[in-house]
Amino acid sequence: MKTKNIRKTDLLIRALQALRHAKTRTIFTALAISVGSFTICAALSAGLGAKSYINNTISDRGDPTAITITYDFTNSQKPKDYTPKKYSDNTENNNTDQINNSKNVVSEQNSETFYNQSFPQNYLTKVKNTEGLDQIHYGYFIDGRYFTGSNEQKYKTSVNTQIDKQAIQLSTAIQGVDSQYILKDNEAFVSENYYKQLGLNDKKQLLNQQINIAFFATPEDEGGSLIHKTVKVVGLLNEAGARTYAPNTIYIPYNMVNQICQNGQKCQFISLSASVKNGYVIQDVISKLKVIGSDLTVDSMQSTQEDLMQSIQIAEGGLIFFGALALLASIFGIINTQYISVLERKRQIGMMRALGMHAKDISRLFRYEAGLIGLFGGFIGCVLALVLTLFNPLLSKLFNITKPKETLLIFDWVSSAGLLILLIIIAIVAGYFPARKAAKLTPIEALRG
Amino acid sequence: MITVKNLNKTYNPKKNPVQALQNINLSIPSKQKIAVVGRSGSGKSTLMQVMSTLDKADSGEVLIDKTNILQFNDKQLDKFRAEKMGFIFQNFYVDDTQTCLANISLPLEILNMNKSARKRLSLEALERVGLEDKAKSLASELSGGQRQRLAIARAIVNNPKILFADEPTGNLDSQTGWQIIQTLFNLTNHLGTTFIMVTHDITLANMCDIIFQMQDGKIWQIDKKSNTKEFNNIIK
Ligand SMILES: Nc1ncnc2c1ncn2[C@@H]1O[C@H](COP(=O)(O)OP(=O)(O)OP(=O)(O)O)[C@@H](O)[C@H]1O
Ligand SMILES: [Mg+2]
Repeated sequence: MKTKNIRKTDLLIRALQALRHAKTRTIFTALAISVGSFTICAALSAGLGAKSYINNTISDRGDPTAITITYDFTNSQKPKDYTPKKYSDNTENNNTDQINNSKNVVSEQNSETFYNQSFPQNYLTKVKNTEGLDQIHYGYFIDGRYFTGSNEQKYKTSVNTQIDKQAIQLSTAIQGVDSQYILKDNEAFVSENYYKQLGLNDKKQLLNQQINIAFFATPEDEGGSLIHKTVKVVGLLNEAGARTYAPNTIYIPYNMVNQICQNGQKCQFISLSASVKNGYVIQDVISKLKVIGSDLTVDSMQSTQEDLMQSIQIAEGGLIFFGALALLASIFGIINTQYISVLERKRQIGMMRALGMHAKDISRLFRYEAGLIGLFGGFIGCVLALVLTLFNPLLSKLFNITKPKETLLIFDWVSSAGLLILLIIIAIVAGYFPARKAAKLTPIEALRG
Repeated sequence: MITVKNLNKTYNPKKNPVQALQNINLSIPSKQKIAVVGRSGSGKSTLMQVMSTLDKADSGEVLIDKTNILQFNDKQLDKFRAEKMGFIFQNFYVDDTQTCLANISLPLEILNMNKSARKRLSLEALERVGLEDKAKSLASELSGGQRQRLAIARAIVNNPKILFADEPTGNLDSQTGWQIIQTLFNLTNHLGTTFIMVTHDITLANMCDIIFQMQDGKIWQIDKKSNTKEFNNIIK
């Protein structure tokens, strides 16, 4: 005798109706699941957002083949003498009306340590001879002193060089030129904060102003003399960028400093930057550089990106792990609520069996219900995670992301859909045990209640 | 034609055996109305349940049109019940969480019928029991009598060959019960259904074609009774 089964859609409708009847229980079971699914969906959103942010920021910074080679002087040449040197009471410093910014102390704190160290000459030769390297630049340490404001007042500032080919980190925060702009001779980016000191009413008026600056390229106690230059402002470093990376600073062209330093001969530096020539594999070049000395750290855009990606993945994985734990706990909720449901509906089950419904279909009905609870719970969690992305503008503000297109949370539709499907499957598997109990009842056992 | 041969059923065979059916033999011609009477605990419900395959017998045969349905496997039994049998119980067993229409539609869903046919047949069945205006109401909103009507509509919607009713009026007052019986008799007459009913009511038993009496798990056919006192000796 051929047997026909009840249609799946009819069974699904009956499952939905049963859940609707047990509304409160269904909602609370689903909410338990939603905790886990929310955590996972939110982790996925944050992961996707962070990855895309890093990708965009790094590709913004220009040359992806860029490599930084840093000499780790603390490793090999620990200073023998830790006693502080005498502070030379410099008149230039005393006359300066200081711009009160607590973060602008980098040069003073580190200068001594830096000055006493330099990239070893033999390393430099080896780096220069490395095949595949191009455009080697010296990471000079500039000791910025002041810029001259209105009324010939001097204001303290730090000074950095912009290294060609590698748009500066502040790309997100330069106004006046596009973010990839390379400074030409005697041009500069200047903190937008400097307008008052220059006697201007508005930040915008800073553009195209000529400013006199003073800095040491070679430390004073090593025989360096204060260098005076006049630069033209072509871009403004704005608040957001300045707060994150370099407060109250001035960027000058690399060549301006390189000329003074005569190609690395006159000034000290501990890092080099370079790019990899076309046709060479970045990783191969990095390996060659690393062989030069164990106290050389070689970073590339690529490896930086990979490192960042990895740490994001670890953080994301951790969150997902806890989400999965929450889900695991909620599975017992599904099993529990479905067992109760079977007990409550014994007579209904008996009647269905009396009317000829197969035991297998009874079991299927209860598994459908479990699957639907899983779907609801997962859906609630994912919707909450989606709602969370509405707070992107707030988060961007919190983390100083000024590009309108950049968001920290990007809802991961594909993975979330995958999660929902996975949840349905897990819930159905969890629902198997109560469903089996329901199916095992003989019609008369069930009818007796 | 239903033939029952040497049917036995013992509850709790190991610990505390109760021989609910002892070597039952009987014959029921098609389209007849059968009353099963007897004292409480005599085995009436057990007989109904075993004959209708809701419960398993220990031994014996139930032949329906010469096929022994007791040797069917579970799936075949399900199908047989879905296609050929209807059930009415003393306490209705309607699904309070569903509408009347959904209640009646269930046996047809089990038969894999499409939605429009289901709706047509369900409405027809509702009309036959006089509940056409309650199609969209929840079963929980019905009175006792209306619930039993709903159960009747659900039992006959698949046009069964055999309709089992275990004290269908047991939970109803006599007037409502009487209306229910009239509905049942009209319907089974109209549909040509074999109707097997357990009852404690002399008038109802006398309206049937054949009356069986049960006692201590045994069964035999009896004549119609003209007086209540004589009948009460049988059932009380
Ligand atoms: N599930 C069960 N387990 C054990 N014994 C049972 C079970 N069901 C019925 N019995 C016993 O089987 C015998 C027959 O019971 P049954 O329910 O068939 O009687 P009945 O004639 O329908 O009685 P009533 O008129 O009270 O409904 C009784 O002695 C009863 O105690
Ligand atoms: Mg009984």
